[in-house]
Amino acid sequence: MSDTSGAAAPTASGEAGTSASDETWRQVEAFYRHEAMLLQRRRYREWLALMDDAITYRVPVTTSTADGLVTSDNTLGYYDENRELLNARVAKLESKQSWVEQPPSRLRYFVQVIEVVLQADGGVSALSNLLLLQHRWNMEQQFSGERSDTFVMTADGLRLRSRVVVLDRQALGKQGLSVFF
Amino acid sequence: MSNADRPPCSATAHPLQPPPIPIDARIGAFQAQDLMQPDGSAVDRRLFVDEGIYRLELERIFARCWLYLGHESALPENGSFLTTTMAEDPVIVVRDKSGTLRAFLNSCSHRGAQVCRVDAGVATTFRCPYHAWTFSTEGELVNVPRLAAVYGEGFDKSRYGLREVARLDTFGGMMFATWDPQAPSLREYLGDMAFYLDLMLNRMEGGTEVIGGVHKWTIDVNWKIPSENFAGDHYHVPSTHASGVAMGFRSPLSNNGYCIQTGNGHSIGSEKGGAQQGTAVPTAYHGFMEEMRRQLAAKHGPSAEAFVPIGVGTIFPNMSFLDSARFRSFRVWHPRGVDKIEVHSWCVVDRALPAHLKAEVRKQYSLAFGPGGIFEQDDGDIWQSVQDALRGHIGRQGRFVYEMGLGREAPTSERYGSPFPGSSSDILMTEANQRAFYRHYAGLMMEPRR
Repeated sequence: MSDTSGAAAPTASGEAGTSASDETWRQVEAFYRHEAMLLQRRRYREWLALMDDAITYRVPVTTSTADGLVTSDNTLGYYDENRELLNARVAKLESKQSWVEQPPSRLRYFVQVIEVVLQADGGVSALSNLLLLQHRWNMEQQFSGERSDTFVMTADGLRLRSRVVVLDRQALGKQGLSVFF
Repeated sequence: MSNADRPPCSATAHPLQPPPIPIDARIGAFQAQDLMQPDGSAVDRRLFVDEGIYRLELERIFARCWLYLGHESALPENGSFLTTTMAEDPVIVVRDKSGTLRAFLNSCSHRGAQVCRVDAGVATTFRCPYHAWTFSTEGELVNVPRLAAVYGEGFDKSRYGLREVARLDTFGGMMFATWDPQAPSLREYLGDMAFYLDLMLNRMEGGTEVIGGVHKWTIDVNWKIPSENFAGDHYHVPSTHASGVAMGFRSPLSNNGYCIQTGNGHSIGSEKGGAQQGTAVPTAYHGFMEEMRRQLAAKHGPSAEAFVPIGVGTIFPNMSFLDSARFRSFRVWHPRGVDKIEVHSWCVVDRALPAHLKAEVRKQYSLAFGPGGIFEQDDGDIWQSVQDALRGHIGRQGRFVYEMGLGREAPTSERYGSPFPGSSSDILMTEANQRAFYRHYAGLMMEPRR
């Protein structure tokens, strides 16, 4: 499935890199499996521990143009976070009076890895499809989108350095966005 | 004498504005007294679920009032356009080739298709995809394919421009339009609210600009629920937003502040120092607001300090804003049927703010009041539960309560000095602004007097 020929491949960020080895693919897929488990069980403190301190986590707003949905820098994000802001969100969701998740949603994450690339600096980037199903006490909805991640390799395994998720739907359906992508 | 001991003002000393609702007036199939107390202190639950009332609102409120279209800075050059809606009517807002702002119904005059199908861009013409009738940025029909061959030589293109709003005007960068040729001027419509908007929009040299991108999401709720919430529902903060207090993004709400209604259904309110005062995730915006506060006090006296930031507010019918200690957001609650809205929400910053601070303010706004905001998410969830509880035969019976702070209103100038217009209460937590909202609403909804 993976190409180990060493040919340059485009990445999500458009930078050239080297196709990753089977071992790196396994590590990335294992990361996503573990992450899905933590997110589904809303173990957000452990999820935050999977992130590098310099994490940037962004779900940009899209604009509909003649060329389709586009995103740009320095515009609004549904999520527009560093570690401090992610910590603040998690602290809010932990409150018993966080009504949007009282009672908590049932969440189901499906991640399909499309591409894994080894960067020149030793980092790893990955492109994946995300499908998320949410069932809350008073509504249900689904999200789909494209995730572009970069990782750094540490002694404890991969750590997420940046994530950009572009959702396919422009006007978010349903009130109270309370899930991470 | 403490505020709590202050005797209520007598009705004669300070007559109600907007005036009481005449009990014998008709609102569609209803008598006004079946729907509302004359002073607005009780509102029937059917007002939020009745289809007939909603159709009447589209005609008598949304086709007559000035509605917010967006911020002028989103249309920087001639030909810049954006699409939005005025209630349920899709519109194109465009800066035409001579620089004039215009708004048109986004629907071909021939057979109705939308002539523009994207959010924003720059254009010289709008070409309908159905039969290719083409319109200029001035709304004129400039091309009809095979005109002479199929319609004949006598066909008069000048009769078939895009339907244009009756009037479009701006205030401090905010663009508004109305379909009603009889409507008062925008300045007259805003009335005394213009004074407070000016405090919010012209704090710094150069005014305001909008950060790129629009937050769009839907909430299954009648449009009046969020409009009246932003009119000054401070009472919901300690419960609805308890989690935001617990994690330190905002301080616990005190009852020290103002709730001001300025007539025409418009209102603002703020606790002292503004909403979102808290120690978690601080930014340098705090210091900037301190400086603005000093400048305003130097101009209008020490009591003016209370008006930076200006607070939360609603411009009747469905435009709201939140100017807090951390950011400023504008939003419109577009109705999508009686039981649904599409929210469009923006982050608006002072143009002269340094770029790094604009970025920080943008992130604070998204964290708190974007659709995934740690405050917004609980409002939306609870508002949906309101609508769900009104759908049934029993759930639509009875009235909502707006009695808080009855009789405690007095001219704002008595508390804050002569430049400050409108009517305010001596406590922050009051439903005076909601009562004023519904009295004005009823005035528009009533059958014209014969």
